[in-house]
Amino acid sequence: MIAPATLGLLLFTLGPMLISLYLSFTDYDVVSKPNFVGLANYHYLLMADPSFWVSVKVTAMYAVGSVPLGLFAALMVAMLLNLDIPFKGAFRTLYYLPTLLPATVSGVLWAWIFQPTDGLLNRMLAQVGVTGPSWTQSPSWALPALVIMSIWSYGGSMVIFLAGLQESPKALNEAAALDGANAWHRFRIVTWPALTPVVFFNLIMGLIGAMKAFDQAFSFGQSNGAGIGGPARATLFYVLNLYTKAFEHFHMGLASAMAWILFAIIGLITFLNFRLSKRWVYDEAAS
Amino acid sequence: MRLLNWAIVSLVLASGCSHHRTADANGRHTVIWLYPIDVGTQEMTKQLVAKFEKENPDIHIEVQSVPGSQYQTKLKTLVAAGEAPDVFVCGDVYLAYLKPFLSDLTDLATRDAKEVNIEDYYPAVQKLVKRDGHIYFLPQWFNVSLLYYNKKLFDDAKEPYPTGSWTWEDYARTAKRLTSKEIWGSTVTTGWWGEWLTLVHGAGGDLFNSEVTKATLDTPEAVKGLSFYRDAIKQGFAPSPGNGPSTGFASGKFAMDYGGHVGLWATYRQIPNLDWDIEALPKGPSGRRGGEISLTALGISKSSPERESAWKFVKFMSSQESIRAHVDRGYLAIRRSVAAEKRDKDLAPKNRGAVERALESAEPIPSSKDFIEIALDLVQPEIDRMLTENISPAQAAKRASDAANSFLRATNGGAK
Repeated sequence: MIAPATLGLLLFTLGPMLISLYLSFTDYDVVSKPNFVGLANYHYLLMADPSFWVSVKVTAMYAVGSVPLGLFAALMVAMLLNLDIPFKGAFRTLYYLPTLLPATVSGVLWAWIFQPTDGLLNRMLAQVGVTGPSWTQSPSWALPALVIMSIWSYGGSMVIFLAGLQESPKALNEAAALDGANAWHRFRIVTWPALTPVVFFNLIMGLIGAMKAFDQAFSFGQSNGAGIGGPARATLFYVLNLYTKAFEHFHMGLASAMAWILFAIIGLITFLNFRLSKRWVYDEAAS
Repeated sequence: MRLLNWAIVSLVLASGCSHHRTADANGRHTVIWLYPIDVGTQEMTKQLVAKFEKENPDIHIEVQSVPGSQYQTKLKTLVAAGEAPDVFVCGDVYLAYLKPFLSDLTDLATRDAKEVNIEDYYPAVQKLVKRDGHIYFLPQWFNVSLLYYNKKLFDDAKEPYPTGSWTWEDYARTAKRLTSKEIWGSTVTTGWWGEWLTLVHGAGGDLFNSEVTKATLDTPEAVKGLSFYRDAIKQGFAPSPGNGPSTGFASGKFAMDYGGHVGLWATYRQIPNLDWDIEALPKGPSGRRGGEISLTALGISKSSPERESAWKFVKFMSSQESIRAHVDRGYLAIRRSVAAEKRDKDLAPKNRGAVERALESAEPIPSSKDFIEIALDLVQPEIDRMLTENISPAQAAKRASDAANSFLRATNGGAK
């Protein structure tokens, strides 16, 4: 029974991974035979490539901005949708809908919203006397624009939070209420500890998603004329940089090396997160 | 049983890798053309293919359409898979990269010299078609950098129209005078090398040395060109990136467009109140206009099993008949004989002599497979930063040159 799964793993996951590891030590350009170049690709990326560390920084800033904001928004909306209100089901569907939109479609939509002169956001800001920034063309504002854009797709985390909230111990909550605890105290002392495993799961998934972010920046750059990763590499996410190297310029060796570096970074961050989680994630079994 | 399985797999693989292509049921030879989808030319392309098939009943053109933005990726992937299309788009910009996969057509072009009639192309185009004495493609249309101007805005301001003898100073002075609350004197082209490289050339500089082994954007001449580019914004006659009307020159709010693309003629013609014309670019301090020329052409894959049929099609697509169809769609006639017919003489731009003036001094981009990557990925971010942040042209040029040289060193050292 496990033979097909093992075969699939070997052929479609492990095999390509090992081939990409080999290619990371070659000068493979798709159209000619790969030649072994030792650590030249890694050396160029880490020591000389002007875009590598920029894309690491852009991705880290995006993760730091988008993940907490996204989790906060998802939790807030989940808590609202957990209330006993009319049309609860319809609201849940409505709030989840943006997640179903392909990122390329929402990228085009948001490129219009952020358009500096004719865009919706700056026109609204102008109504209240504020001159909006040049979101799509300014290296300082393009990334914040993408962070704002990312919050919109919190639906996935929201559903998981909602499930977590519904599992929150009702008896404890009622007992705390009888003892005079107000809503904030009940949330802090009862709901939040029970919710921390869900927060941890969403955090890990959010961080991995942010580090692998690609399509929103790709369509954003293409739609606003700043070019992929532009302006001035302000939206050059790590995976976007990898894609450009691989499929725009066919530097498969460099792209494979980037993929393995990303694999190591994600592995390290996830490991650290698990280590740190012991300090704040509630473990029912342990307690 | 195991042996049988291996035999089947081997047969399937062998059939996939075969370079032999048999004729179809009607005895026609199939030529595969990888076509970048373009809404503006799709109908024309269909009609031309139908016309060709009618004239050549033994050949069938299988058009494989790909979105323009994915064209290079698709093409290279097909080449890598050993399934290169017979015919593909390969203007001079991509020639350096595609050359290993292109069939040298010199023998066929020499044999059919009368039909191909290379002398009918503009001299600047001829030079690009026979860049190193060999012919790898036949072109359909070309772009040459021009100065576009809005006649109404010039008339309203009682300014004389630009002329072929304009210098940078004439251009900047006029642009400043034409700038008002609602109107910008000129545009600044961002996101690619179209304008900044032209100005670097005009100032006497270049992006690379002649061997394309070293970036030279940090020379005083090149920095002068970048400064002129940046100063259009600093002096207030061009908007900074992202400001100004998002539809650019087509909005009617720009008096001039420096280095605009001829591919936009069809669009400009459809805008009711846009009264526009063209002139060759102003001359820079070096005496060069610095404008670019680039060709859109068709080449044939080296591995094509239908070289002769593909050649017939490529010849047809570059024939007078095809060029006429292109002109009717708003493209610039690449054959002088078609240009002389003045098929579009009632349409803007009227000042067609400007094209010839621009062509006399137009410069092709360097013949290097690294050019696009260096210009877009390594230099452009520094240019963007120069326009949007407080970075001087000299600093931007130094950073861009360092990045480009580091890339050239690394790729020569094996990284790829």
